[in-house]
Amino acid sequence: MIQQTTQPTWGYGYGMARTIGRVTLGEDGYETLGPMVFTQVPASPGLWTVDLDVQGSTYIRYISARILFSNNDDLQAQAVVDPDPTVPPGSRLRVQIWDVAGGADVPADLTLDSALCIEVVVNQPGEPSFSLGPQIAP
Amino acid sequence: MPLYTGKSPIRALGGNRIEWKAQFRVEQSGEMLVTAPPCEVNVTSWSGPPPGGEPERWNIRVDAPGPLVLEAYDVAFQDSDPPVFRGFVACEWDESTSTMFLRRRNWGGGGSPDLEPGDAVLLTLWFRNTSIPTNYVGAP
Repeated sequence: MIQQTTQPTWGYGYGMARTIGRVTLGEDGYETLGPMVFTQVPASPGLWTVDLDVQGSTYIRYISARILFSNNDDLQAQAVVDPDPTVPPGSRLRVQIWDVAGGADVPADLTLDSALCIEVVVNQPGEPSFSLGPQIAP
Repeated sequence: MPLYTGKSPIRALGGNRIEWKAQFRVEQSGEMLVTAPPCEVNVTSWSGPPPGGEPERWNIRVDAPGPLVLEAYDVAFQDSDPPVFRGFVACEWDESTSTMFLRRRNWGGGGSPDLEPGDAVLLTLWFRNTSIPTNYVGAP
């Protein structure tokens, strides 16, 4: 047992939090779901910055960037932690969307009704705890 | 830089949601083994689109009383041994029917060989939680 002070079940999930977000291109423009701020980088097709709802430096354990496609199933997305020194480390991602059809990866924007989905797992600072609210009767 | 003031750290990180995980694996017999919460899986094949026709795909309908708001998803493809598939799984979501459509694609475009025994897809969906109130209390 690596962490002897932890109980087995609690220890495996201790100290991390998962956050998700999604931006969808609709007929009225981009719509965001989840606690992230999606910003398009000007003059760079398919390039986004994604600000996480975190405070201060954040240790990131996992990132995924996925595409929900509508009419182009050859879109793919890559995400990295943005090294921008003007924001706290680990608080901003950069995401590039590619069209991989044809073998040459071409930067591409979302098409109508397609979406970019982000999943991030970070270290959870502090002592996490939770309580359940009123439950629905079985 | 909390984006939403007054929220505790855990809640700010998006605690109020439902996580749905499932695995779809092809057995040696060719049958599809589904390890999933209630859902209906309509498997056709992983082959490319027929000439002039609709591309073949998997339809995974999540059992829910009404439309679900999909906030994000993650997918992984587990290839049989030895791994030979160079590509990815493309996903499309139909909110009106709570159905996820999966399609395997080759890098460079086009279809791919059929799914083989040992291949598996691991799918995670996150839905907005509208039924069970959960009050998260973050760090003091």
